[in-house]
Amino acid sequence: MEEREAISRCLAGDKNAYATLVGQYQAQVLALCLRMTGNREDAADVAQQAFIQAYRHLDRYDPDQPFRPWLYKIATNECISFLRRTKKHQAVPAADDVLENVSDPADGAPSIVDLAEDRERVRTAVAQLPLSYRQVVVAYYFQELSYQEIARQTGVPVGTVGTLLHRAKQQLRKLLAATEVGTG
Amino acid sequence: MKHIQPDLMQRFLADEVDLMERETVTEHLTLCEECTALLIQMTADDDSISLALGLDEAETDWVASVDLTAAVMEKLRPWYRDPAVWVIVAPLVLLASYMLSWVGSLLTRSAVGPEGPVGFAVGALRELVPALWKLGAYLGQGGLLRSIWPVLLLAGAIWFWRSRTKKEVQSHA
Repeated sequence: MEEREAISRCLAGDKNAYATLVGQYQAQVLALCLRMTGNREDAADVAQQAFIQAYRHLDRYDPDQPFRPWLYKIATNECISFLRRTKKHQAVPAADDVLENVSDPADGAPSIVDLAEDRERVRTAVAQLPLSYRQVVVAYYFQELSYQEIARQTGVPVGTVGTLLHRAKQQLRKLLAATEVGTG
Repeated sequence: MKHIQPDLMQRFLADEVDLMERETVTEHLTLCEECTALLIQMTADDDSISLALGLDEAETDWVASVDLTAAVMEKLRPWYRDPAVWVIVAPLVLLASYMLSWVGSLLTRSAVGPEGPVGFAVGALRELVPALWKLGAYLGQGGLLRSIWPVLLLAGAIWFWRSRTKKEVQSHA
């Protein structure tokens, strides 16, 4: 069954047709939730909840638009709600004055490549980013979405995506540098 | 020489610049070693983040092994289609119907007489209906409220007219 047909059948009240959509997108949604929550158990719960929410709001989906970004948006929102609700997210404040103190790479400060000895350290640092930064970092580097798609998914203007990414990287560098100092 | 703003560089890296911006950046990069070094570093940073965030083998296996279909479909099923609900509800319904029949038999046995609740309700209805009838007739013939009725009608008309005007104003706004 094709995606469009499955959606039409769901909207007509055939719940079983939704199983096709879940089967088709579960791996991608699970992966996204895993990167956002950083935990398998939470990722499975949030992904499940995202599919349930998507079904309940399927009447709001515009069939002329692709389904995947719409589903991703719901999944991302579910992740953010989950992280806020469970307070599992401990972000480092992203105040501009803090960011201003971050050295520019051109000034000779170590780059992310120099600081990121292993993947886990980068992941931990990403998990410490404020949610608005984490959202765009995961969307850009993990989901490999375009700025346009990220803007649609996060609800920020396209022009802001680049700024958020740049600031997120600055913050990431700062976090990695801090752990470098901590461990070194 | 004015260097490229990091925001613009980030967009250039992501191929999210327009034609004019691309030309500006490309031209500047041919002249500025500092910005070229920054671009190389930013590219390496991006690769590093992408690599770190990608799924490793264990995660890929886990994602492939999880099947959410059954769990999601189970949650989407209406409650009355869940056999577990009926295991609890059915005995409760049976119990409730048995208790109702028991209470009913008690009522019919003890409450039909004039002192019981049924007799009382019948008596109250007998008294109440004529009283309401009398009140209607009294108001209809113009009892105590005769002089107030025109005022009430006028107030009602004004209220109706004002509420309509308000709605029209809101709809125009």
